[in-house]
Amino acid sequence: MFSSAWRLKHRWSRDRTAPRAPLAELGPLLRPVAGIDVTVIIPAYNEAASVADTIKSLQAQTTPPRAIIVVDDCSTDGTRDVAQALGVMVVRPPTNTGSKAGAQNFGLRYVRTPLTVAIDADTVLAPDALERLLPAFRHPTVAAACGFVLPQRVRSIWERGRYIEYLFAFTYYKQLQEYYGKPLISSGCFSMYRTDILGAHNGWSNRTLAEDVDLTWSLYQAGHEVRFVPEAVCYPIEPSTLTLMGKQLRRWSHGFVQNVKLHWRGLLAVPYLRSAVAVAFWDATIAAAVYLVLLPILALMLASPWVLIGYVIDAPAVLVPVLVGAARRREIRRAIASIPAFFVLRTVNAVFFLRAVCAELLLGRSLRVYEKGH
Amino acid sequence: MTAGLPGTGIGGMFYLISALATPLREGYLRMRGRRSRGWRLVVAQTAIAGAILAGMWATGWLLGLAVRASHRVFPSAGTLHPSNLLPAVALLISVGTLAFVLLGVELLRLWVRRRPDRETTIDHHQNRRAVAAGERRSRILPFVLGAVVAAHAHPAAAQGRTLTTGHLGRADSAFTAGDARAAAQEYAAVLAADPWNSHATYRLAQLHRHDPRLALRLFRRYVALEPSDPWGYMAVGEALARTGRYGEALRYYDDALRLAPGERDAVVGRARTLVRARRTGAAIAAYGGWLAAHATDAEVRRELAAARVAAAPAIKPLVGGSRDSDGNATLRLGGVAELAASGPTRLGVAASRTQVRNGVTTIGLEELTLRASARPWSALQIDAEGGATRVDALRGAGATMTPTGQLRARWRDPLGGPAVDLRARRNAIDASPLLVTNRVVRTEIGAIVELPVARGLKLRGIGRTAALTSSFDVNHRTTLAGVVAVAVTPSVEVSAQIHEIRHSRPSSAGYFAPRLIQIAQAGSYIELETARSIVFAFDLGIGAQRAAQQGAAVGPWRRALRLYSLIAVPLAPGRELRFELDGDDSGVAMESATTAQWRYVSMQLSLRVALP
Repeated sequence: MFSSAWRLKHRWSRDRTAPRAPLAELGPLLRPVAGIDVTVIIPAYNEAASVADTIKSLQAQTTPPRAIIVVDDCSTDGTRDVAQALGVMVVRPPTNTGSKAGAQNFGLRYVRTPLTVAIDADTVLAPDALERLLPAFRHPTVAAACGFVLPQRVRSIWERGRYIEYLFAFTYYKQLQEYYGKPLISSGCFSMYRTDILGAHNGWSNRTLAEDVDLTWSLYQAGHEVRFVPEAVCYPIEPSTLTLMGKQLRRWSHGFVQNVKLHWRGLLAVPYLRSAVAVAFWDATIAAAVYLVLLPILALMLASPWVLIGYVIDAPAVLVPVLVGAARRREIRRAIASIPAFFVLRTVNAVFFLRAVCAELLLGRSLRVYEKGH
Repeated sequence: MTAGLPGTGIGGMFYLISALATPLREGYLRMRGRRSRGWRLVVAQTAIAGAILAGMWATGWLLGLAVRASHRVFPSAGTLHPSNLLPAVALLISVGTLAFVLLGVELLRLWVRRRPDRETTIDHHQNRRAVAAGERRSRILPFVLGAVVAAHAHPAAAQGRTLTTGHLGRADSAFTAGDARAAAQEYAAVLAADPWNSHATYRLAQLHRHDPRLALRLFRRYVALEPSDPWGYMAVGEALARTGRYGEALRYYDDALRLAPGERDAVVGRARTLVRARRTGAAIAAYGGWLAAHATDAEVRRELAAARVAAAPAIKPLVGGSRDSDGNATLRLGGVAELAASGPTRLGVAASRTQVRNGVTTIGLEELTLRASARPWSALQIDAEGGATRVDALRGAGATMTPTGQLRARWRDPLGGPAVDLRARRNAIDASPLLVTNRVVRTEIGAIVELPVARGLKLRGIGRTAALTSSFDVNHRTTLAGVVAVAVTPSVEVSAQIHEIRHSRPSSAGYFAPRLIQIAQAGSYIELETARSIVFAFDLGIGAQRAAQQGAAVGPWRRALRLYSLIAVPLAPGRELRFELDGDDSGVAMESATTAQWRYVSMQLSLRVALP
């Protein structure tokens, strides 16, 4: 139940009862609206191009949410107007909060329903996603649930690489994590939470760059359960260029290392999760170093190009879950065409993780600036 | 986010093993009636894992073909072995690295778990008290602020409090009604909303007594929240004692007694902890002190009597015997005398005479050993024996004396973690006149390592190596075994076991020494205790075994059965009758076996009498 005194002190030293919004501010929320007892928070900063699709997909749900709150984090591109035109509540902090977590916490003040959904402003949901996610909360110990993630667009090499990565991870790794009761992360782009538990944890923390990892691991350490519901599908827009992908990978890799630094002691008390995190951390550091440095050196030293097969020797291990996932979606051809892109993305991924480990752990240069990519 | 490199590294291996383990876990969950995710997911993930394995094998095979083809085209190119070598090496490295990382995490967990305990031991009583007081002061501020805020409370805040109060009410009702599961859920909900709630913390700890680690953490938390409540210290003391950490437990009881001098539960709890720690002298003094002021306390009087019995000198006469399928029989008469012990060390002496016969020959052995048993730390038990065995003269050969003895150290993590059992021994093998006549002596060292991998699931590794010396030759016997054990309940364990035994050479000294013995068994261990403290223990094994003679191929599988049972009946305070039965239809596992079809049964009856 309690991971360590440090965590408790840290948590409690902060404002435990975040101020709630005055009822008069709630506007449309107070009007009786048909729908399930769920409020959706959409943090948005300059998302005018995509937020409309997100809102429309929410309004088209088979079980629509009781309220949709768009947190316009002082956008300059008319995000607020787009959202207001679709009839949802738009709130705006006095100044830019500086992070997705900050905007989400601002939105959390307006939530009056027992369940809260966090969704990115560039993510659309399958029509039954909320309906599919809800049953996970029948059990009282479940604090959060997340769904299957797939890229909205699969065109560029980076989107294709991410498509394979998600097909692989959500068909295979995440299903096993769910089976063992410990999904590694309740995805930040689409997750549902119990509002009271979210409030008890002070919402999303911005002490790391991966607020979803931070929250998920905090929930586990507090004795709560997190579920993965593969039938609840969401489609975020993934980076289409190397520049955007670089920003996202930089944020993710630093965020992961920061969370390992922050939570390692508490995670040791959580069975399976501790092994999954240790394995992921090992692969992000040692395996990445082997992948980027040792394999080429070995190939040169042994004068054998066969060593370079190491880069793709695990292709069957990747291909099997990917094809299983793609077959269920009838996207076999798209998956096969995208496979080579995965190996490119994996190499880039290794570079960013290795850099993040060096910066965060060896050089003590922690990345603190939340740079929006996708 | 996907951390690491999906597919590569040890992550792929970790999830492959996770997938292959799902059927076992699902079966276990179903067997225990616990909530499970369903067979559909298990079948799907196991099928994916199987397909991955097949795919990796096919890749290796294709790679081998490609390397061979490249050798024909470019004889000088490529230096790798044209086979499945590359995937095999990658697989081995991957599995080894994964084992290294997972073991490292478990060791780190053990190390981290111990550190805070050292920091909070009451050796630093004054410091801890100061910290507790500081923490109490630090809590005053939130309470004052809370009161001020409450005066201007927002409806939402009030709603939160109402939520907590509602959970607490439901939790207390469920606790009173005996619905532990509902109560635990509600108390957990209270703590999620209000982690400072000491009442919910204490109750939740009580409800988690079956999980000593969690209970201890919660009771400690309660002490931090309510440092002036002696019952918190007693609860921590009791939880520590249950996990074998007697030194710390006693310090917590001392703390409780400082806060509530003369409190019966603290005095008696402390005395019980002393009994558990085998410090019976101190326990008798503690009980005696309490009875001096409360002479009518019947319960304490009973416990004092039991402690005196445990500390008193004792004698244990015994009679036993065995019979095997070759017509060999033994009859053993002997006894053990234990000296009085007021501390954790107990000394004794054992003597016995064994007569071994087979219808033609009869020969006798006498054994005299000094014994010492000590528990220097609560988690460590050391047993030592040293003495000699004298074999009677027979057919012109004079009597001989053989030094014998045993040293055994057992360590078990008090919180149900890993356990290690190390043993070195030297003894004469006396199952048949031929073995005794040929002076067959076993000198053996061995280890058993037990590693819990999940709740109730343990892996056991057994390794032994023995030198079997006789008048004719010296042989070496090596035993390796792996056991997967599942604790179905605290007193029932089922296991799957694989044993492999090897002898370095054949022997004509009278025992069966094949090149290789393999035994696969399903085992179960059951321990029952009645209301009258009669203990029944059964260790059953059913499986198959096969043997390969020296220089010959492995023979067919045949059945392998074994049974060990113990019945201990307390007749009166300080008097206990024990009956042990040992049967084997997988005799090749024993050094005294003569053939692969050897069967054996032995029994022993003993009576332990504590002297006044």
